[in-house]
Amino acid sequence: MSNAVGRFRIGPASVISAGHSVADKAFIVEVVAAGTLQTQRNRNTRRMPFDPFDPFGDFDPFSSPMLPPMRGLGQFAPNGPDQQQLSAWPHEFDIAQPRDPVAFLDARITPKRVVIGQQVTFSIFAYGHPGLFELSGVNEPSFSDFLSYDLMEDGASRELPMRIGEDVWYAQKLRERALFPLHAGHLQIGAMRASFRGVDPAGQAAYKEGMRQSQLLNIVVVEPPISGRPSGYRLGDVGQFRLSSSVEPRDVKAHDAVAVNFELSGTGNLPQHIDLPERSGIEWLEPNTSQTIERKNGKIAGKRVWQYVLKLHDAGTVDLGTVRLPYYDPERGQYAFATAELGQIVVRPGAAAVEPAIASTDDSLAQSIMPREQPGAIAPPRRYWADTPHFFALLLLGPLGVIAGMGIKSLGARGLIFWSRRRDSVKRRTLEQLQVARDLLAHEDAAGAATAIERALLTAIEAATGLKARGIIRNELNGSLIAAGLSPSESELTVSTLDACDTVRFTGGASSLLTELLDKVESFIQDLCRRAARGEKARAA
Amino acid sequence: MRHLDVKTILFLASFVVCATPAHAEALLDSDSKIIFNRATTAIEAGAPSEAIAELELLADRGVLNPDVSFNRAVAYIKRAKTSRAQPGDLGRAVAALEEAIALRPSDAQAEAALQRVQSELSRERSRRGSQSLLVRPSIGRALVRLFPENFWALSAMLASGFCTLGLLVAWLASSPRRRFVGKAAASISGAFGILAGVVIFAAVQIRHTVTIGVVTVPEARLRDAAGVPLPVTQARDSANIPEGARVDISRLSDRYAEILWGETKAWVQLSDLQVLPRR
Repeated sequence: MSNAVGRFRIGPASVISAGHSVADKAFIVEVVAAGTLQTQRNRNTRRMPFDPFDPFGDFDPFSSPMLPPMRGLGQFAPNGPDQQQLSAWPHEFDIAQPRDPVAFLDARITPKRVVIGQQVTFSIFAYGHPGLFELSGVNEPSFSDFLSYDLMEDGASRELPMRIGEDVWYAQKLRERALFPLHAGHLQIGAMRASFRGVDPAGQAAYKEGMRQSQLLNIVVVEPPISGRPSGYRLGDVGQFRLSSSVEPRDVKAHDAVAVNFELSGTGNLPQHIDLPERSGIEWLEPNTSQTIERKNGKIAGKRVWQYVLKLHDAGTVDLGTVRLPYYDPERGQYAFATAELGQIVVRPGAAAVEPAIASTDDSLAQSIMPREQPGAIAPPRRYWADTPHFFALLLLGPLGVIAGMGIKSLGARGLIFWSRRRDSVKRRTLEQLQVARDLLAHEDAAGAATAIERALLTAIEAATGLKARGIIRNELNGSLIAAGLSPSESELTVSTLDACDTVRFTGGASSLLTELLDKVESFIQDLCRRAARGEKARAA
Repeated sequence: MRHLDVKTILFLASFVVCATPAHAEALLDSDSKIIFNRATTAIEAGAPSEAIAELELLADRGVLNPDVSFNRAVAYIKRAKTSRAQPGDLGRAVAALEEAIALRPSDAQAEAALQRVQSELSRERSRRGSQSLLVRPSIGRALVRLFPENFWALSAMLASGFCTLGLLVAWLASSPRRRFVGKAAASISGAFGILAGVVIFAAVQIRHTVTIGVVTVPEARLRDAAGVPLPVTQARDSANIPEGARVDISRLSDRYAEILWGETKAWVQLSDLQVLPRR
């Protein structure tokens, strides 16, 4: 039952199940003054095509945002709104330039940087260029990081013609909410999505592909400053508040009850708690609380009432002192107090108090534990040996050092063996002899060169075949070499070389003979050395 | 090794912990001292809420002092036993005592008070038929926290030394018997050294990446990363963490903290926890 004229938004209803929030759509109900329904309906372009409650009234099947109004019945002329209608749109509809050439949703917040508990005003406007529109499939933005209050008493406003630059647009304020951030951080308000539907003044369908969404909004929320923060301040107590109190009666008997009422009023998110005076011998019972929230010039204001029962157990005059509620005033940028003086109560001796029950173990803890009178020093941060630079490398250094030493020693031994073998190798010895032969030939010592060639050849033969050719007479040498595995041509080369060496050594032949011989026999000696190496490998395998 | 019983190990551990050099940090500044005195007076006058307001103001200002934390715990404990007790008072007392111990590890009075408050919380939970504060930690974390980190560091260093010695004997000794003894010593100490090295590495990782938090509400609801409450499952017999429970925090977002409680890894609302300072 409505007792006021206007448009009311009902919902959206939402339910949280298993941590998921599911929300329905909001519904707009328009209440008009009694007796004006006919006129109102003629003006209103958003109606049911067929009204079952007024089937023969002012039904105009051609007048809705989806259909062009009939000449003389519609709100605007076919060519759009007249100058009078375009002269007075609310300033809050003003926008520098459209975000879309056809239709768009525009979300705004003010201010963009706040402290925890400070009001942020959030609003969303819909703009359509082709003509009047209506919205469907509205998806509400989420305010999970905020306490949220609706600031629009009448629900969504009407679409009004206005200008953006030189163009005529239709604008509608969809939502206006007061948001109170619950924690610090970079908080985000999600996008609102809605689908535009309607026709242009010429009667053509407009807003094709009319789904639009508002922009995401970010708010920086910080804690109020630490500097100057009073004790007892609770994060979120932000606004401008006044506190008043009443204490009745002021003359009581011990253990009797006294009614103490507090009323906190002001603008902002009303604090949930006040710190009561604590004295020995007084006992505050659980309060009854009530709260009234109202909108006041775009701000949330209200009143919260605490009704306490106070019991005074000790006779005498009790000064209850002052209740102070610290809060942060964002407009002045400083902390302030809402205070209420409670005054004194005269307590006369009353009936004997009931003896308290024997303290339990935990009560004895509360009674026995006493605060420290003086703040002492802080122990230095604990030092950890593992934080020593290269700690893990140092752990491995010893064992790996020994293992490395063992490895180096083993490698050294192998190297020594290798070099020893290499030093004694046939190839090295024969090549040395051949080099000696060349040097001697260069110094015209043919006999010495012949001896060196003979030594190199016999060494290579022995290494390759195992045959000690030096002890075999020359006539039998050919057969022995063939028997030892040399080919006949190699055997003949060997014998002829040895003969030539003997000739040079004993008869003083020309050194040029040896020069030719040396070139011829060198490749043969190298071949023998290779065979010797292969044989050695085969034996090793 | 016959004499290396638990007492010896604990003595060694305490030696390792106490062996670190101590240099006391500065006391409170004059403003903080005044607030501290006001709070102490309020506690003694039976006004714990006023004391809490003063001491929380010091915490908001970033004052870290074990005696401030201890007195805050005292104020919460005293308020918890009055008609004006607030939900979570004992959890906040646990958090304040944990903070006092973190700032001064040798504070025996704080240790004793912490044990009594935790016993009280356990009793309350038993009366209500709720789960215990005690949970079984994962084997890895239990091993890492079996002894102080420096104990494991010392063990690793000793193992490294014995391993080196054993290897040297095995390498250089002439007698086969000595070489065998050397090899055996190197193998045993090497294995223990690897274990201690792994534990110390894990301990360093945990110390650098994990922060300790204490639940300061009657029950902290377990959630997923998106903040959706988790149901009870066969693997997880509770969807809540009890008041006063100590949790490991591995990650923080604006509203939630990723925690490890026993073997349960989940997210909880940041406002349900008090994060302890890293020391």
